[in-house]
Amino acid sequence: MRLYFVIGDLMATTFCGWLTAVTVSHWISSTGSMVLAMGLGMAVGIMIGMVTALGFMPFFGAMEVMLPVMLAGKLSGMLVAMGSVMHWLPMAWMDAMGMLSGVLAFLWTTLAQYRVKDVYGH
Amino acid sequence: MAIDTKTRDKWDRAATFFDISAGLGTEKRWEPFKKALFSHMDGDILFMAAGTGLDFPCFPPGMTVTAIDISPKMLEKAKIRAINYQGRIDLLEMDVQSLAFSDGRFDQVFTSCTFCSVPDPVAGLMEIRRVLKPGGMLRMFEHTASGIFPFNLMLHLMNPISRIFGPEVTRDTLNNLDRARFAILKVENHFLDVVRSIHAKAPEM
Repeated sequence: MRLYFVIGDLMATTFCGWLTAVTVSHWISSTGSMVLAMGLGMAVGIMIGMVTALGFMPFFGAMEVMLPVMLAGKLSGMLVAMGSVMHWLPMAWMDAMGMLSGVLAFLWTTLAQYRVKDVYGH
Repeated sequence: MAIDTKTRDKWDRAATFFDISAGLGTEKRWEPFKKALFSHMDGDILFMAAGTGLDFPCFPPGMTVTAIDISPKMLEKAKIRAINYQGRIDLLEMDVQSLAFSDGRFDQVFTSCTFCSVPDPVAGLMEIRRVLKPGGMLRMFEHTASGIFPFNLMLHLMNPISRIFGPEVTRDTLNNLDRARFAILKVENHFLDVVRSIHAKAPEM
């Protein structure tokens, strides 16, 4: 059962990262301003994260899906918008960067989870 | 006793899709933690906000439980799960903030994702303290606000939308327990510092 949820979490964050990258690289990269692009990218990513999470939540959990997926959207939106404006990578590679953001969000959440486990008790 | 009709209507609306949204992945994920918490059940037990009864299969067999919920539509769905439970569950329509029980009636009170939905959580906790015997235990499975960036930011962004259709996601339940004069004995974090089991004790007198 644990593996089922790990795979589900990873699928949800990677999908959200990819979807955000596709959206951001096509619609926000034309802003010209890096700061504006990053801000818009993050906002769009968080919104995509909220909607994406609703699709995955019935199968894989509530907060455990919603929070990392929104983080994936935020990270992907920020990085892809920045990369697009600065022409770091070809557009086709932006999708991969979005998916990588999803994996990073998953790892970030997993590490944070281990740090706060059983904060206190007597 | 007064019923908060706005809250009742919200959860009546939510009852239609509640088992689909909360009854599959979420319940499977939380089941081991709930079973561990409910394994402490003993004596005269009050279970708050029963919903559609998704928690009942996690109860140990043979208990006698009084379960309440504000939504009659949720309770209607909970009936079948109450009948299937190997023990006794009495379902009652009631508001957590206004309990129709005498002082010091229960040995233990259990909650499961209740205080994300009670409009005045401190008032609700004080009602629980009233109906608990002195020194009685309150055991809660709740999702709360987070103290960790960026998760706290996410929760605050979600909250305005979430509260319209269902629960609040930024509740400071530990602080609310302090305000209601419960002694917090143990907190178990299941997911970040958001999904938790909380063990608290009512004052001795």
